[in-house]
Amino acid sequence: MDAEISRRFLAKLADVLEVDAARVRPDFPLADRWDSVTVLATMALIDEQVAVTVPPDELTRCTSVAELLTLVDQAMGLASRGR
Amino acid sequence: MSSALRYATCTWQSSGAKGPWVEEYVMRKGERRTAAIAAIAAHLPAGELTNEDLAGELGDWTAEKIFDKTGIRSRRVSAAEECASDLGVAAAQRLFETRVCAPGAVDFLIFCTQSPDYFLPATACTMQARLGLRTSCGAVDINQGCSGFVYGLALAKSLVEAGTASCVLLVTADTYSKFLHPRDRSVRTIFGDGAAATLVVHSDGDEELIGPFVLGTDGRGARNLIVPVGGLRRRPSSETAVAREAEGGNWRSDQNLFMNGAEIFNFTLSTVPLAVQQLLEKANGGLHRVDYFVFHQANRFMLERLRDKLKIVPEKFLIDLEDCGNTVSSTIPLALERARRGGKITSGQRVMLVGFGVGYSWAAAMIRVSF
Repeated sequence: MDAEISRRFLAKLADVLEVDAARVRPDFPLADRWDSVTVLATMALIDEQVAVTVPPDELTRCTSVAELLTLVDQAMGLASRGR
Repeated sequence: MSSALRYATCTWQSSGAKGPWVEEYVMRKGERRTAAIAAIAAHLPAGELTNEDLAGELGDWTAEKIFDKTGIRSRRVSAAEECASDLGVAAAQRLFETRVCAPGAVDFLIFCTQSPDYFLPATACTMQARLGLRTSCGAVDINQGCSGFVYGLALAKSLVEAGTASCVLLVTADTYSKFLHPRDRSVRTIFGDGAAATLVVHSDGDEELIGPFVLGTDGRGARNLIVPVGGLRRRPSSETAVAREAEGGNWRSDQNLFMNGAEIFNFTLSTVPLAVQQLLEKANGGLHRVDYFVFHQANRFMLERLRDKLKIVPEKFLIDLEDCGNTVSSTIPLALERARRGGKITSGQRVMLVGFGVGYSWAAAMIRVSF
């Protein structure tokens, strides 16, 4: 995703995680964050911001924001190739 | 009567007010058959489960947080001996009390439930007797959940327009509460019990009042919303009755309802917008030609996401589950009945209905408000 979308995505992700936006950097840990509500809210956020769906089991394997961004990029790549 | 066939006139009133006491719906020979919804009545059980009750039982979520996440403040819960058929009979009796038609006028009963009284006989057969429907009345059960009302409408319309029946009583009812483990927050916050009775008859006009439809199925999602044990594939045993701690501190046994909320959410986001698009194409119209949208009332979070994704304005999109929760196949008729009574929808309006969930199964339809 481009820089502007990434910035907006991270700002909204901070709301989902209920933490200060300044803390949500690529190395922010997610491993202990994946309760059912956070999973749903993150899936909704990804769908809202970049119009792709990601499998929830892959989402909950993300241990950092960097991994989450990679997963979203992969999903966008699959979507753009018609998957 | 002039011939071996006897033809009388169908004279239900479209106002939704006290209609005539129609004793029989029979078609005139050669008349075009167009099905219409003549009336809807609902019934909810007396038992109530509030967010305060749940917060007290489950501990980790406050009542306000439950509302914030689901849009639900309380659910109605059937009593221990109260079955879906009891709720359905009560809804049908309420419909007959409006005098829209006599029980003897019904010539087909469709009962949609996933919590039947027995493996056999069909619950619809027992309801035929309890409701005093004539013995020349057809009666079947259909097993669908969140898409069940729209599927029932598709069947009722087909029966009427094919001339197989003239007055179809479609009853939706479920008691999912009986499938839920008390310590499973993921489903106890969402589901409530309830029933609705909808009368589908033939109308005199040429305009299509029910339809077109878009129907769909993807059984690969069956495992994501399921009661795994209790049918013949896996019989109940002392082992299957044992509850174990599952994800997020929820508890359940294989005899309880399991819902993978995230997978259901993904399915919904992928499938419903496409079904809406397909229906609009079939109906030769854009979103602007739909006066109101009544989707399966799954939970507020999912509905708001679908609404925003589809770019539907909030004024035309119903969210009505705060005091009853997700009543499965009855959410759409319950919401329709309340929206009609409350003046949110009016006679003649074009309303889009979309049901989606367990199966996976989905169904979308256009209706013209005729009740």
